[in-house]
Amino acid sequence: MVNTIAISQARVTEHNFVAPNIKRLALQAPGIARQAQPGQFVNMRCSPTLDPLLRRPFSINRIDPTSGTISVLYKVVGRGTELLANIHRGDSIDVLGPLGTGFELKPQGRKVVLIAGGIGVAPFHPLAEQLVNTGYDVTCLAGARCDEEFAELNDLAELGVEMYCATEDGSRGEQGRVTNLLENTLHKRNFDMAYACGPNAMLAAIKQICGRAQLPLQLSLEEIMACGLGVCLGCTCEKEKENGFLHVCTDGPVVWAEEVKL
Amino acid sequence: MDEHSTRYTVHGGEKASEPQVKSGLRTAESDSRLTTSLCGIKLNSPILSASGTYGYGKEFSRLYDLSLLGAVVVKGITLNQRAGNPGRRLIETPAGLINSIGLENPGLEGFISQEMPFLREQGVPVIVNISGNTPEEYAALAERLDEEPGVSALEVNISCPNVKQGGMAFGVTCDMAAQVTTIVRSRTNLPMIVKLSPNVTDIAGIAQAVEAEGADCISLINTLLAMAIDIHTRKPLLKNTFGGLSGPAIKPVALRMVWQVAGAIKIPVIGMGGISSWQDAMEFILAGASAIAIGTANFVNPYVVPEIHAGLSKYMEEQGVKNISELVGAARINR
Ligand SMILES: Cc1cc2nc3c(=O)[nH]c(=O)nc-3n(C[C@H](O)[C@H](O)[C@H](O)COP(=O)(O)OP(=O)(O)OC[C@H]3O[C@@H](n4cnc5c(N)ncnc54)[C@H](O)[C@@H]3O)c2cc1C
Ligand SMILES: Cc1cc2nc3c(=O)[nH]c(=O)nc-3n(C[C@H](O)[C@H](O)[C@H](O)COP(=O)(O)O)c2cc1C
Ligand code: FES
Repeated sequence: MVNTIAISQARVTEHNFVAPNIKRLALQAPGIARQAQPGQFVNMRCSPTLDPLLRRPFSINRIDPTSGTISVLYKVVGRGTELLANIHRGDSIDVLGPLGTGFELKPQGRKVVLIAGGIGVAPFHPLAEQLVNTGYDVTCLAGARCDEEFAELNDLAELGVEMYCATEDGSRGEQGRVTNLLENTLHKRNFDMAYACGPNAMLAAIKQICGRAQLPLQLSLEEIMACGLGVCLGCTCEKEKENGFLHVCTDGPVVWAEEVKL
Repeated sequence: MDEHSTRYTVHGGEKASEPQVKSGLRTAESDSRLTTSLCGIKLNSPILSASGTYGYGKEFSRLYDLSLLGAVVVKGITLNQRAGNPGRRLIETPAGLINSIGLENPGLEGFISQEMPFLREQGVPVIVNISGNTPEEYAALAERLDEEPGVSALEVNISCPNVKQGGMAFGVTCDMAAQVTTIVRSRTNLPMIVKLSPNVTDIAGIAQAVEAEGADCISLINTLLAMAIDIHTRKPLLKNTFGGLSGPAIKPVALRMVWQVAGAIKIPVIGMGGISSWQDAMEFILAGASAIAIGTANFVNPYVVPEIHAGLSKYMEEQGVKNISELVGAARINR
């Protein structure tokens, strides 16, 4: 399906901290809500001025076609996200989407595992919702540096997702990285499909682990973007099997692990 | 949406039932004030896309009718397919963007077979931007495109490295710029636009050299050579060290160069560099540009072309000017 791209001055319906440095921004954007698929993203202007110049990409974190709203879940990491954090309920924001290629929603088998590193959990709620609704058993392994960097754990649990977590400082769940958690879990249990989102180093490790376990894996990638539409050719990631590059904004952000060199 | 007040369709935008639609997208004005011509090509408006910021038109055709443009200028084409540069390709700077794309493109034949069929259907002139590593490559591109139906003109990008001259860009000396112009001229009857590099000491001199060799039009500016350093790794952020700066940050420099070139040659000028609003576009026209091109602004606001179109129409009406061509170079006259 080729969806149409909507751009709008979307009204902010909610904007709250869900963790000390993580906010959820809900927007009235019916054109996007109507079409968005799990794993797709929006490209937003964090300020109406020309500095910072570029839009910022964010995964779509909630999709509600009935109320016409979508949300993004973001971590404040720099100028753009700082400006974004100061936007108030009732204000308008320029948002473009839905963009990119989302997750495979009908994987073979019945048991799937979602692996999230930090704010990489953002695209998983709509995915888990669809998978649970279509009869899959969904497990989520979430990792973060410390408890304060988690978001969404309860929301995912409420969907019926089996949750496990790991923190590097041991402040919640197992102590260690989410990759350790994945290895330990794979010793005990089998899955038919895995999905991962997080920093590239984490994705590279997960790709190796899943490769050894012969577990099909999709990755949601991040790359610096300008247009988000496929015209600037700036958001590249090396292909694994042949020379050349994938374009994260159109070929991704979700790709099969074997397609990409990390 | 009132049918009669809509000059163009906005595809797939948040529809009229949704009040948050960008209001700048509708206007009642006729666009005959904006029609113009450039080296014999009739243009619906003086607004062009800047090469490399618009792909081959497909993506933006999902947002608005491409016939708002005077012409689509496509991503630079090389003889052979190119994968482009490895590593990071984009760096945001204050009101600017450094890119190091490396001319990723499907190559001449790939472009003709994959992109031309769609472009021919859009009812808008197509200008093909060509790049080469040797004068012979430019010549081969020109010869093949000369016979391709639906190509209205060539834009010769002379900011490419000349591999025979140690990688120095063709566009930085009068001799090399003239050499490429001469050879392309000898292989095509299409209107030839030569796109200048701003990384030179005497931009007007280069423009004159190119005009003397038979160019029909000059476009400028291409990106300004720029760089950024990662203070944590203590290395340049780009694998190639340098990239090209574009966006609002370069507008005053681009405007000054358009002014200098327009004053030095007789052939028409296409002005570009940081244009982000109709006011910016007007400045370039008043400085002497017969047409203008929109680049980086397409990334920031994908509807910038319709918005500039609407803004220019309104300005024409308010100023009581019948056609925009009357204002080309107007700022030069009463000084
Ligand atoms: C498809 C996609 C989906 C994303 N989804 C989310 C999400 O749901 N939630 C979320 O918090 N973040 C997400 N990101 C990352 C988000 O876009 C960046 O954090 C944001 O652009 C940073 O903007 P800034 O101005 O605050 O930071 P800047 O001041 O620009 O940079 C601060 C730091 O963030 C890094 N950064 C900048 N741009 C990006 C980028 N595009 N991707 C990754 N890192 C970047 C920089 O290298 C730097 O280290 C996503 C990125 C992509 C490509
Ligand atoms: C991502 C990107 C890719 C570009 N690719 C090309 C190209 O292939 N050929 C070319 O002649 N110019 C290319 N340019 C230069 C633009 O066409 C334009 O001259 C320049 O960006 C200045 O205009 P702007 O500030 O409006 O972007 C590119 C610019 C950008 C930002
Ligand atoms: S961000 Fe421009 S092509 Fe992907």
